[in-house]
Amino acid sequence: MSASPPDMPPAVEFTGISKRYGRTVALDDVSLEIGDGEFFALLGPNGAGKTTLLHILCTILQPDSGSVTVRGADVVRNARRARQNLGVVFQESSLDDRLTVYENLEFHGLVYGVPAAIRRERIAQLLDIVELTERRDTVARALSSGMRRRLEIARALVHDSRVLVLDEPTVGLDAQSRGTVWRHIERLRAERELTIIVTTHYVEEVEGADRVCIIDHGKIGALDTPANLKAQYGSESLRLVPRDEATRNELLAQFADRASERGEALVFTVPDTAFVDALLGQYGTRLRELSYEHSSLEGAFLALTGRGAKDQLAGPRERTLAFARQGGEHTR
Amino acid sequence: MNPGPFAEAPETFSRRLRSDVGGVYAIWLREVKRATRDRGQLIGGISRPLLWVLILGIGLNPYFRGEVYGEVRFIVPFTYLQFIFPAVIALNIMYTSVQSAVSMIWDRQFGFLREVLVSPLPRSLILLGKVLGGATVAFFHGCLVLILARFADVSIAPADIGYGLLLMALLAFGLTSLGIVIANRIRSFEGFGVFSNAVILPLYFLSSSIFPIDPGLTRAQAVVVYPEWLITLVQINPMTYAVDALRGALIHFNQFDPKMGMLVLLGMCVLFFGIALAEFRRS
Amino acid sequence: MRRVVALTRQYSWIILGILLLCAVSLLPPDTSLSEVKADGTLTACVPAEREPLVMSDPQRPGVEVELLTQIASAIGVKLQLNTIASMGEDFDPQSWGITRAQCAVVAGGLVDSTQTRSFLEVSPSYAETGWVAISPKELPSLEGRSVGVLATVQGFNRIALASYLRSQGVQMRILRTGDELVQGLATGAFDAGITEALMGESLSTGKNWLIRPLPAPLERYPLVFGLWKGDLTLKRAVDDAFDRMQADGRLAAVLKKYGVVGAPGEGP
Repeated sequence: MSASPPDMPPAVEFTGISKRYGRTVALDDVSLEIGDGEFFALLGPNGAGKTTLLHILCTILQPDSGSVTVRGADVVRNARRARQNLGVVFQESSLDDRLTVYENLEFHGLVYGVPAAIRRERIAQLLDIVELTERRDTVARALSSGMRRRLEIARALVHDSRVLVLDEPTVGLDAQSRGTVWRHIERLRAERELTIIVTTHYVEEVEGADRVCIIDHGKIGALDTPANLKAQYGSESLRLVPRDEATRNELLAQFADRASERGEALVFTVPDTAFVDALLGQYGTRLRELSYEHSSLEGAFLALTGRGAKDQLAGPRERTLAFARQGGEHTR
Repeated sequence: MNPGPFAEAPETFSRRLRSDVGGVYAIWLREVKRATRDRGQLIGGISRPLLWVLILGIGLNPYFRGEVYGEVRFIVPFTYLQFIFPAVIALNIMYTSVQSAVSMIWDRQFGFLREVLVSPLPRSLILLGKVLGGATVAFFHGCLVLILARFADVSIAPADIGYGLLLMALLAFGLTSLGIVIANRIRSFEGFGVFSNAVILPLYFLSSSIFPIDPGLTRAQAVVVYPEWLITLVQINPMTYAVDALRGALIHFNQFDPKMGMLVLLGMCVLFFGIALAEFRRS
Repeated sequence: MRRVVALTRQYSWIILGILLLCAVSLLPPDTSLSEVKADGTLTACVPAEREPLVMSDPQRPGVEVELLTQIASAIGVKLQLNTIASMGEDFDPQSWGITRAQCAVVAGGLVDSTQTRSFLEVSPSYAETGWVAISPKELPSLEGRSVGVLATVQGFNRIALASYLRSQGVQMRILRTGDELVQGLATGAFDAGITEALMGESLSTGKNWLIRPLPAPLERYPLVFGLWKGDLTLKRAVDDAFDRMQADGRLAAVLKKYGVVGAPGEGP
């Protein structure tokens, strides 16, 4: 189910990609086609292989078998052309802290061979879109993490790439910055012909995607539009906390096939409204908490991978620990 | 709003060449810009010659001159200040070259290297830009030492200095490449610090940089004054010939064959850059 | 203009650093000059007699003495001569036993050679010298002749002279003083006298003898004053004085007075 016209090559095409690290299989014969102009999301827990897939796409890693093409150019055999078409925003910040915003963008433009006049013009445009024009001469080190992200996104487009790859673009940002980043991505998408490939843990961000691919243990679990996925795997559910033990046992006994336990709460999959009416009629007065969850991608994710997407997110504490372990901050 | 599908146009050779040259320039420029904003490195590059030339040079000067005419044992026709002056230039270049290699570890750890690796610029040119940038900064630091030439009574007339500058440039290039070869093997900053102290400094001190192996004596006699193992170490150390060539260019005094110095420097540049390139391509 | 200001601010640290180094390079590296000035005298070690550089006639004290007097007055001090007997007798510097305490300048016909530079710093050269052959009559070559050699000069390559003379197949006689040379030539004891150029010139004044420098591979040496190594400030002062003397012709005048051929570029 590709969105590109029949005579154009797909934006990105993975064919039978496999990669293993020692005994661990990171990717197992993954094949995927992403159409031109598509907004494609890759969803999966840590270790699922999505970062590996992205790295193979960006030519940082070489696959053990299979091939990837970007707009028809094979990343191994025609690496130069493939790279020219790719704009990558990595999960870890890859800006030069000592250079200013403008210098970072110009560096990128020079390295990708953008001619001087076009470079200047395009940098000005991009700075305008991501709202960093007043910060032109600020050293990158002095920017907030939200601004850094926006800068990196702008940077990835300086060479007029057609495929924008974003690896966890909003991780570590507060809710407001997240919204801003997505707003800018939307704006960029509207103004240019862009294919966007995103990996993220924030399932709600992925709702607007054209297609979502859920990947786990190196294999594709599902690949479809968000609506279809929700319909197929996500389900409506009722979450409630019973007031006492007796109520709890009764509920579990009566609706055993629909119930699952989540801490002190019980979650029931809901087939229809009649079910809810019946349950509430029977137990309504013996409940402490009650909430209704619409069919969600989170649910689909849960159903497909058996784990919550957010469970895998490294908390800020873990990230600081990891940072300290690798040596912490140095002045250079 | 969209300035055309420029990425799709077929790449002519000249377009590719211009793009590649621009890429090398970008990487070179980044190194130089970073260095101008690195206050710590600059302070080091200025305090080192001050320390060595000003304090060590003057302090040890009286011990190396003929206070009694005819009683000096080491017959070196220059003052001690003049003798170590070229060595201090080499020292400054060495320190800065190695520091620029450290930035490679930094880039790798903190992701900037990836940004460059996914670009269409060929790996060899990425490395070339990096080495040229580091070498330029190291060369500049070497030139800082030259400002003290009047103090040390070393002539910096254009005729004398031209060859010296060439040697300094080659030394900077070779040592930066060496630094990158080492940086490829060491994955953490602490390791690099240990290495630089355990290897780089001994390499420097054993290059007859601060004490002469008396040229007035034959090798047999030199052994009588210095232990045999020391003489051997000094003679197999490539830095010895590099520093000696620089000394020859600046104060016209050579302990070894001046052509050797140039050969060793060229060899160093080619060898270390080659190894760095091979390893970089593979990673 | 604004761009210059902006650039300066951006590179302020580098500029500061360079200025610091420049300032340091102007510092005096030693106290030699200030010591001389504090003493009020410039001391010089000289041999007792060394024609025409150092002589005992107060009216004609010698080329070097006159030059040194002028240098001393340029610095603003007086000249004080320290006569070291051994300097005139032996050409091996180690036997002279002079130390820094005795003199700031070493004179008496020192030449600028690697050997001299091993021990001392040198001033600019005031004249050139080398081996010459003096003979009463024209001698096309020295082959097979008998010569008297007066070689009590420091810094010359005696070995080279010896091998040259041997290659010419001459009969050598070693002389000890200038008088012996003069007498020997007058009486015809030998055909030619070999000695250092300035000595030869002064020995043959008024005698209508021919002086010919010996050819290559025997070198010409510049005549200089010796300064102790590391006395950079004093050296700079001496260099300055020298340049001025050369510029206003005083150097040429002194050389002319003693009939000495100067360094290349100087007239006889």
